[in-house]
Amino acid sequence: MTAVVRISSVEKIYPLGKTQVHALSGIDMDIQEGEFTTIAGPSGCGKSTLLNLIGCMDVPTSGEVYIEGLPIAKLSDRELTKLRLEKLGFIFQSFNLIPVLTVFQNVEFPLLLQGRFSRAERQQKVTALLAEVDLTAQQGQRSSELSGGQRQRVAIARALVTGPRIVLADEPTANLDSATGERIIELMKTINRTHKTTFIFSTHDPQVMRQAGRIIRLKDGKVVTGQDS
Amino acid sequence: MSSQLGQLRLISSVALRNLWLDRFRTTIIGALIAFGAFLAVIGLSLLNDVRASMRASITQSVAGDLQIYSANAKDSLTLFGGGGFMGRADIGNLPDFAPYRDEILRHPNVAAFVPMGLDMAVLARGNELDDSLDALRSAIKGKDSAIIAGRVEQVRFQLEQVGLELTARRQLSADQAELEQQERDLKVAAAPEFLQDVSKIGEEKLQFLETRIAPLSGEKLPTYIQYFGTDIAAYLANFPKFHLIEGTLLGPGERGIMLSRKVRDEQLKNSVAKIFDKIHKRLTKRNQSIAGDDECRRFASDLKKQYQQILSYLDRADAEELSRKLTDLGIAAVGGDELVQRLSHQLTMFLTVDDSNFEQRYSWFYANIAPKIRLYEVSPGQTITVRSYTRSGYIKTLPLKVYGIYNFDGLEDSDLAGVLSIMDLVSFRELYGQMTEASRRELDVMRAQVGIKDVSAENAETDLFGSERPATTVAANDKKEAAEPLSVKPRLADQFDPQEVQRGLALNAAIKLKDSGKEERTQQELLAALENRGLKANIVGWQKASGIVGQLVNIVGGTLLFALAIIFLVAFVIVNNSIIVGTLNRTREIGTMRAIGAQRSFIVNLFLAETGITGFFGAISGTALAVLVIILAGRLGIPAGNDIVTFIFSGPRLYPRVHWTVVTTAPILITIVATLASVYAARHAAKIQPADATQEKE
Amino acid sequence: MTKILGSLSILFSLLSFAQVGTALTDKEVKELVTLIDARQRNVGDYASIVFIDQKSKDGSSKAFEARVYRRDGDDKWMILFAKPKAEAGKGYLRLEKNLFLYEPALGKWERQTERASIAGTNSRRDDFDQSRLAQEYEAVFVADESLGRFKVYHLKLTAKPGLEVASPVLEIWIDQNEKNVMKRQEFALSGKLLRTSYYPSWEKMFSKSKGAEVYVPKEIRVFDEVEKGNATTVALRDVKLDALDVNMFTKAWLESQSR
Repeated sequence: MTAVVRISSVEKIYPLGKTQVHALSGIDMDIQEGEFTTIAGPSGCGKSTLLNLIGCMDVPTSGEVYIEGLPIAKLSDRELTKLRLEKLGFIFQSFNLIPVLTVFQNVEFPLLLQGRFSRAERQQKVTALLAEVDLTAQQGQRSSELSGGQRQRVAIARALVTGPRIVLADEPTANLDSATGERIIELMKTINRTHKTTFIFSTHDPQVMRQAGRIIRLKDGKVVTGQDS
Repeated sequence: MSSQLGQLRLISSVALRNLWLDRFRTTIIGALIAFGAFLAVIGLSLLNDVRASMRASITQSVAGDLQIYSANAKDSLTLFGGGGFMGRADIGNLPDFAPYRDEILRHPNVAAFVPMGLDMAVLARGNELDDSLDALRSAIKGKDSAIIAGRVEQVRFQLEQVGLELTARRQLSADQAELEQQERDLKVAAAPEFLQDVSKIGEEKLQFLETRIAPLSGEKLPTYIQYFGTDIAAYLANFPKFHLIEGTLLGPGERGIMLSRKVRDEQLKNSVAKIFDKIHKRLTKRNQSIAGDDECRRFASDLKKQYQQILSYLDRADAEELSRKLTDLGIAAVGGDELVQRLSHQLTMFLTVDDSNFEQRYSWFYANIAPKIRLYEVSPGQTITVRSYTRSGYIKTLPLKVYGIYNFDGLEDSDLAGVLSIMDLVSFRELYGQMTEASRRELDVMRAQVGIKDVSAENAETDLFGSERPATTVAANDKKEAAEPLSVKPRLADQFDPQEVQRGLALNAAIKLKDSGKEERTQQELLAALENRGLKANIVGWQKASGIVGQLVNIVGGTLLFALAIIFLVAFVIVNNSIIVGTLNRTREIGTMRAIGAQRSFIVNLFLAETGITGFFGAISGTALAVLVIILAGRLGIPAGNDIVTFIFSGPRLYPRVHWTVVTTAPILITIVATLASVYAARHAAKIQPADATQEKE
Repeated sequence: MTKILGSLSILFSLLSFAQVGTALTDKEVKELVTLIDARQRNVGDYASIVFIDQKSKDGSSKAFEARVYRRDGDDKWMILFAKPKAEAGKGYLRLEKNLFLYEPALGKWERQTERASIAGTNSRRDDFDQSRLAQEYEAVFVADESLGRFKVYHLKLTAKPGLEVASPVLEIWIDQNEKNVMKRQEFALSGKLLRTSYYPSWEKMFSKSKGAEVYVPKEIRVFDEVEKGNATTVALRDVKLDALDVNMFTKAWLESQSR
């Protein structure tokens, strides 16, 4: 099985005034299709940086990142953006919905960016996903009218509407109470099983970590252990 | 709906909702753009109006659409404001304008060709005593004793006034010896026996009065008259701004002049009336008061010294009556029973005006005094004498009958347009004094008769002092013979054959077009057509021919555009900055959009849409407001504050119109400009990294 | 007009002095200048016909012929134009401080006081006054020179300080034989040459009122040195020094001269 994500001798260095920060100092790892993996570590360990690289929001200083075999280090911003649009989905800690749009419109957003679906097709996809996250009734509402859990479900629907191979979630349960959080994780696990979508999380939440299939621990920009649970 | 449209709808709904969310900022930016649109529409509309009105002012008064003049001109033609030395520009002349006219009239776009020429002459004036002595002299020649007696009376009356004046001058004059001599002379002239026996008033006495007494009454400065001579019939048919106010029109074949009303009012009007008018104008038009305005105070103090200007034009009977009327009015004389002294005091008191009595005195003056004095030195029906320094070097004096007084519609108050008087072309040619072939030949004959040989400066000494002839000769002792009387060239007839102005000398000509929009092209075509015929000339547009005046519109327009540009620049910077500030608040939102796959161009378009929408509505509302203001101003009119503005407005008020081209293009342009102005800011926003999606909201 | 009237002041009599000399002493220079003044001092009346031809540097020219009359006794003068036809009959009559202009075709007179300019020119009263070189200038002998075939004394005259004169510096060349001024140059204070005048021929006549002989220049050539190309030629003829009629110098008389 090909790794859906391969990290190969990746270094990420940020200039900070006259000095440099080595956020990642030589990471090697693979993530297989269908994994439900957590990246964990203390703050400053580089997990955000790693997630950004995998999320194609940034490129490594040296080394290579392969998304479905495609190296991204030399890609242009335009190509990276396209890659994100087609192959990735994002779930944020603060939900990051577009406030002026309705639930339906938020979920529809990526499809419009893709620009190749008719209205009917978009309608069908969005409706299907809203059903999956159980928000059909709220599709006409704005995010300000929803609870935290509902908002995160919208976010999940939005992340999945393009049928991405990888979904990246950055502390998805941080702003939810434990009950809601657990439900969100359950939802994501279901989707992981049914859609075979690879889920990669960054989290502090032990609940999430318990559910994870694999935990990759980072410390000081290096992988500490990669153990399956 | 296709995805293109869908994206568009997405962008516009996101844009609209964002604008609504940040209402305050949107309003500020919108208001700024609206303000810019408001100024732009009003400014550009007014500019169009002013351009049209100035064009009318100039082309319909003197210039026509094009002007043609000699190719040999040394200076350029300036119809207004005068150019060259002492206001007499050297534009050469067209010795015969007929071939030019014939060729030019053949062009399909030419409606009329009006020959003309501008020049300047002097109107000499004597003082009141000169005039009455002149009248006395003619009366004596006429030998009608009744008339002579009347004139003598008038002279005596004026002598009394001169006496009073001398007494007043005694205190001021430094030259006591001269003054004493003058008083002695006056005593002789004023003595009753001097003019008693009318039959004995001979050359000696007249000369005494004319040389010793007349100068005592003061000197009048000469008046310069600027004029243009033209084919009157053609002129009146083609220049609609001409408006006759008094008198009659100069007819074809008649020699004469129509004076400019402004010149007459300012230079040939009785100075008491003139000062009264000036004060009145300032009080009514500018809402000033005499006490509160420096100019008015100055005029008022001048006014009360002008009693002479009334007194010297009255005869004794009228003077008595005026004195009585003034007493009735409540202005009684102090001491002195003698008429001249009494009336002088009364008039001085009458002419001492202030805010409480001015209006009453002003009307009283016009009702009771003006009809009795010579209100204007020159009136229609009179003949004036002008003197010009001709091109041939001699001085030409020409009598001109004043047919009428005129002004240009809408330009009544303008110093720039109001000062030209109009005369016929034949009189013009006489005053211009071109050296003709006949005159040149006459000069050669004169030289030959005298037998003087030509000597140049370099060879002077050898030529003059080289020959053997003696330097000194003895005069022959000729008997004195009486010189033959000289035969005088008869004066120019008052009528002429109208055919004379169909050809011959003119300095320039106005060309009126049927379609003035084709001005430049017609100008080129006319030059080419003339060239084909071997005729050389300068043809210029009305703006160029008007000198600095023609450039006024361009200057005004340039200033306006400059001001607009500054305003737009400021607006640009403000808009730019506020967008950038706005993006700071939306970092997370933009980062999110980028993260989930929106390209930079999408972000840019989003911001452009926001600015575009704001700009559009701002421009529309600014324009709408401007249209409202223009319509309102169009009803009331914008008053012209001073003379130059009067000229620009072609009248005392400008009535703005709505120019639909401006109203439709301005908002579109402004929207586009506003949108483009935000490109920089939008690109700045697009630089926000997708990773910034995880920033905490401020 | 300036030049005609300015030159008129030199039209008046010069005494003849039978003296031939070479380099002059200061005393002799002073005497010579005094002589010139005396010669110019006219006693009695004067009448002549003057022809003036003015050429400008741009090629244009104008000329006229006029009868000139002057009465020394009461300082009156009169000019009556004879040619060209367009000017015939026009006249100037100066009585005391007044200048009267006559326009024959209109039968009209116009009066100006002396402050006003004369015929639109810059001539001043000074131009018509007597020559006072001895009082107004300091004269020095420069050299013996030749002017064509004439031997001349070259003198330089500088205006005395504090006096207002038309020309601050003059240079004159005087015929050694006849003691007539043959050439005269006027300078500005800076030394710039303004005008050169030549008097190539003179006429000698007897004046009854003066009781002595009078010299009158028959021809005067004036060259403008500032505007080169401007030149004036003055020719005098029919000069009469007899007493003039009492009733001349009146408006009536001037009017009667034309029809």
